Amino acid sequence: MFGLPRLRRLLTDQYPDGAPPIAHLLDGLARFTGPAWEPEDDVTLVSLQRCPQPAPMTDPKEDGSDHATWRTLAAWSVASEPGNERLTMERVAEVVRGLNLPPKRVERLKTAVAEATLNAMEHGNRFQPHLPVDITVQASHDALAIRIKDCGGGPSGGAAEMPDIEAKLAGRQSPRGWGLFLIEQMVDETRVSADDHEHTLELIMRLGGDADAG
Amino acid sequence: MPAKGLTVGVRHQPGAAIIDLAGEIDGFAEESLNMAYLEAEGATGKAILLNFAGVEYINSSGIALIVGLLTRARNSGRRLMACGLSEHYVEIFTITRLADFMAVFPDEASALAAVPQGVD
Repeated sequence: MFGLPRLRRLLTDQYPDGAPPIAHLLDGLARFTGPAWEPEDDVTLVSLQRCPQPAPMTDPKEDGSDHATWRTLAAWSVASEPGNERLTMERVAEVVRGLNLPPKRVERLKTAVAEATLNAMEHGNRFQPHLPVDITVQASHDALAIRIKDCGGGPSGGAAEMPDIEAKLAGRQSPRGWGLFLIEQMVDETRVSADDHEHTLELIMRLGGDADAG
Repeated sequence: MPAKGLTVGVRHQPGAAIIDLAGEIDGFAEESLNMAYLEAEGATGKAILLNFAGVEYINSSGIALIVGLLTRARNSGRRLMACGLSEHYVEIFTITRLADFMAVFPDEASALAAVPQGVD
């Protein structure tokens, strides 16, 4: 399956400024299907909405441009110990309660936050309890941003393998590897940044309008 | 927040063994989940029903464990079913496509109604 996460990754690729993304998407689809592909009877149409830049990856205090737009609702750290992902997701849910997200969106956000925190503790900090995972919750008038930072800097390990249930059931793929997939499915956008010392995953969830319909 | 862990119990009904699950299904649930499955597998029925009615939390490691059980069930010709999932976890089962390979029912009664009787 081509899948929404793959589509999102293609959309966040770098392509020439001003160039329409359609050609880039079609190239990506052609690479995925290969030359001999014939359409099946199950076709999904996806409409794409261009939205304003939802959140800065840089700290608003350093950025200097978005102070009035983004407000920090809460910021805290947790030790890299199993179970703290649940504590984090419950605290995020508590912090965003005043935003009146529909319950379904809150559940999605909780799953994304728990998985992102678990990834940060496990893969970024290797479950070393003295290494913190930093969580920042910010909101603007139309979006929510949760930033989850660990100490796993350095080169990226490359793109995660797309989980394929049929391959897993056939033993061709590990049963594990669902975390990033779930995160990408649960929120509207994800962004990753890293340097030699830190790795940050930002979860974006839009507020209001159709985004909150379910 | 102290970890609640996973509590399991196995019951037997005509044609199916039921694994009652309560608490959290994460990486720590592996041993208790596998033990319960082993007990259920010992029953003569061909169907095993995972009853998630008491489950509050499933993470990606828990999904991997369920994939493992599904693999075992398919390899041994058993039918693995699920019931009692919350709306959110029904969505997770749909997104991961687990629901394509194990029937998901709203409750135990509807799941058992789908099990052919007299298949002990």
